[in-house]
Amino acid sequence: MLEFKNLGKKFDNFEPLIDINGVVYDGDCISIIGPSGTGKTTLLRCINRLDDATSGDILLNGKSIYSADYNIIDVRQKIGMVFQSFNLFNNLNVIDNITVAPVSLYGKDRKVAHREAIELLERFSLRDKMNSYPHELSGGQKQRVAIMRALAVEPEILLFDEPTSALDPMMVNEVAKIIKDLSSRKLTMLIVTHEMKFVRDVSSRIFYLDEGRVYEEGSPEEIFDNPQKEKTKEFVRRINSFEVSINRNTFDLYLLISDFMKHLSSKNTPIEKVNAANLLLEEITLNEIFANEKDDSNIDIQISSSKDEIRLAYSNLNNFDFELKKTDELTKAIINNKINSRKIDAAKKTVEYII
Amino acid sequence: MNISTNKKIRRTDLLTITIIIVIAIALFLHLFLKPAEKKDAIVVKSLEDVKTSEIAVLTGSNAENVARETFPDATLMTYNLNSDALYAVEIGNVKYGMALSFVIDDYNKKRGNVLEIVGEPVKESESGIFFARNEKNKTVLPQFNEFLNKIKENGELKKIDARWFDVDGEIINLDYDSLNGENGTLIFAVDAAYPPFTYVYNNEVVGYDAEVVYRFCQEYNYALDVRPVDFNGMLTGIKSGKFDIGGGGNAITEERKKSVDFSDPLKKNKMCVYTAAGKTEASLNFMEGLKDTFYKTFIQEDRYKLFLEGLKATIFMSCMSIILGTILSFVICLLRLTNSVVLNKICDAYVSILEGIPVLVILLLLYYIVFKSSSIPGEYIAIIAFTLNFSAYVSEIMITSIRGVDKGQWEAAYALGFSYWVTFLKFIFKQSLVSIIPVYKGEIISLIKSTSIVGYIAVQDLTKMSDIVRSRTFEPFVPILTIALIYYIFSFLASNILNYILLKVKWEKK
Repeated sequence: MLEFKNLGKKFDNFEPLIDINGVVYDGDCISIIGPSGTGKTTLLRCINRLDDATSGDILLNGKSIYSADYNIIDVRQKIGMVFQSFNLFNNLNVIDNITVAPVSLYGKDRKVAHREAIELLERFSLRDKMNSYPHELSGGQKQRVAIMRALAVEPEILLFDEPTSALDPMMVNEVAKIIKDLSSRKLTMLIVTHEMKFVRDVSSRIFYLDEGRVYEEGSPEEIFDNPQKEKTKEFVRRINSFEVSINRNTFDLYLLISDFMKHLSSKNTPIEKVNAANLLLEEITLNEIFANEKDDSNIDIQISSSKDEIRLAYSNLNNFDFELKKTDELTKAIINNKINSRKIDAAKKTVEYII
Repeated sequence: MNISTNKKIRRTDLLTITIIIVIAIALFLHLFLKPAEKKDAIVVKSLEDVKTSEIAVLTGSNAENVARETFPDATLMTYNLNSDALYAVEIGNVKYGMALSFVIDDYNKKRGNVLEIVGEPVKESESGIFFARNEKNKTVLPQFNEFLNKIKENGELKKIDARWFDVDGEIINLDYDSLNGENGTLIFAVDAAYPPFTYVYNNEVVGYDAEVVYRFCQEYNYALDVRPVDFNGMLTGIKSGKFDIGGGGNAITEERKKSVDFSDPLKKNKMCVYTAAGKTEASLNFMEGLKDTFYKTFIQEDRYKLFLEGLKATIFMSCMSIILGTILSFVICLLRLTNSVVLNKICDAYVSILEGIPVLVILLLLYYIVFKSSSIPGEYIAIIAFTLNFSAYVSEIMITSIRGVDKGQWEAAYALGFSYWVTFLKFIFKQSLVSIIPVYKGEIISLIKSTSIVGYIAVQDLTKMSDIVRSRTFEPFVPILTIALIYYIFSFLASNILNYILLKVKWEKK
């Protein structure tokens, strides 16, 4: 059991953690989410003492990990960590990466360690890579080896610092599956991630971090479907939609489309809707919005999607042709052909397209 | 497996091919590209002509001063070895040279009248022994002058004179080990290439000046620590008090008296201008010429021993400097890895100062200033200088490579429970070796080559030994080619050893 007691961490010029409180029970799989810069990674690093907290305390099975009774090595043996960038030892092959700590640090017999490593490799389907060096592996394979390396010292708790962020979308699944597998075996885990689908799938509870504290805590359903507090609601709304501010001078159509597609790819929206939205985003932005907006002020675009529809909302429009008198017939025809409806609100200076 | 064998063969081939090519080119240039015989055109050889010509002289010698005063419009070509100056004039690289008549005579004696004296002697002077201005010499110098007077009166000096200056004089070796040092030891520096005053014969220092000093020590119970150097090095060393006495046909001048003491005059000298006599040696055919040169360079007077001794010194200095320098650089590197601002600043300053000063200058600083009055042998001072220089460069190489290792490697090791030191040695340093070794190899080769400058501080390394041989045989070709090859082979071996180590530490599949 891991307890946070008024934990704070202050750096020279900012203070990511102010007052963290919470309990992690054995077998919990906690996802730590929140806007960037809220100290999610810092919190993880404080747990295995890669960073030391500046105030408060962390109790591991009731005993402070900062107390003199706890050797820092014991803390790190009990609490393993998996990094975003894998950090496999480049000069060691796969099997040595896994066995180096148990053998040279914790005095495990070399043969026993070797046998156990092979069992792990078999479990994670990497038996044939045991003599490969890290530079010969794919990102997903590297991360799997990194997880095995952490498991080989038999930790009570495993920390994951954005384990899938550095991976190709194709490889996210192979790592996600392993974490899911570990959570089903009741290994206590804390995971910092931006992969919300994954959070929903594996976590038993979620810590939403904001303002330097655990702002809201609950099951995935509670946090995602029924958030209670202001900032959590805002965060959930934002992860479900895609927002961007554009400016006629600096805007990059192709970047916009690519970000937009990235957002939609994590949703279950039908492909024909996505393609239509893709086409419309270009058509509308260029011919209906920027045809009229001649000044430099920013225009906000919000895109949200659900199973059946995609909503494309433009706001902060100063000179929009709300009567659509100036738009040429061809453009109008293309747009009208693709959208279900168009909601124009001249008072709020917004226009919304539903696809 | 196959690949590595092939590679080995290629490397060895490369060595052989390179050596053959170098020898072939050198031989070709030496033997077939001799300057075309000058036709008997009217060659002006007069002191009038000297005024606007080039004059070869020994660096720091009286000849240099006299030439500068007498022929202010001439261009002076200064050589560290007088034999090089003489040879340059003989082969026509420089039209005139200036030296003492005895020196020219001695050269002609060995080479067969290849030089001729131009006009009247430019200046007459007297030569004596240098005495450093130190406490010891307050008693030694009066004793020496007293001894000199005595042998002038009893005719002993005449006998010595005849031995070294007469055409049929019989050279003897001086047994320095037999001197009993009851009254202490004197450090006796000589210009090892200045026959007949001081030079190396049968691997020992002999000559007129040397014998007088030797006889004096016999009589007054001093031991001698003989240091063969070049003239300029001898003079600098005497001025700084590094050496007690110095011999090498030193002209007594007012200028020099300002900074060193002289004994009473030993010999009257004439400073003359000389030029090539237009006569070449009776030309031998190719094989005979080569045989003759080879005989003179290695066999005569057991000169190969000089090369071996020089090689021993070079290897000793290189290896010690590499070992100590590597250890020191590793220590500096560890200090720079600490978070201490003070230590970091100190190490940065150390590296930047030593990188910014040529190693020769460091060597001279240590020898003439820092260890001025200590009796540490030059070899050790050279090792210190090279160690300092090497450690600065190598610590920079190391720190760059170590800092270049991904920070994630540290964190991953920490997270598993490894301590700082174990992490550093087991993961970080091992990984950095792959980028350290190739650059380190370059530094080692450049260190081996740069040891060739230690002759400046009286260390008899390979280069210095070849100088000494050259000054005796007056044949620069074989000695220089020999040491070139030895340096190349030495560097080649060092480089291959490191390549082997690199293969061992590389983690990529072999």
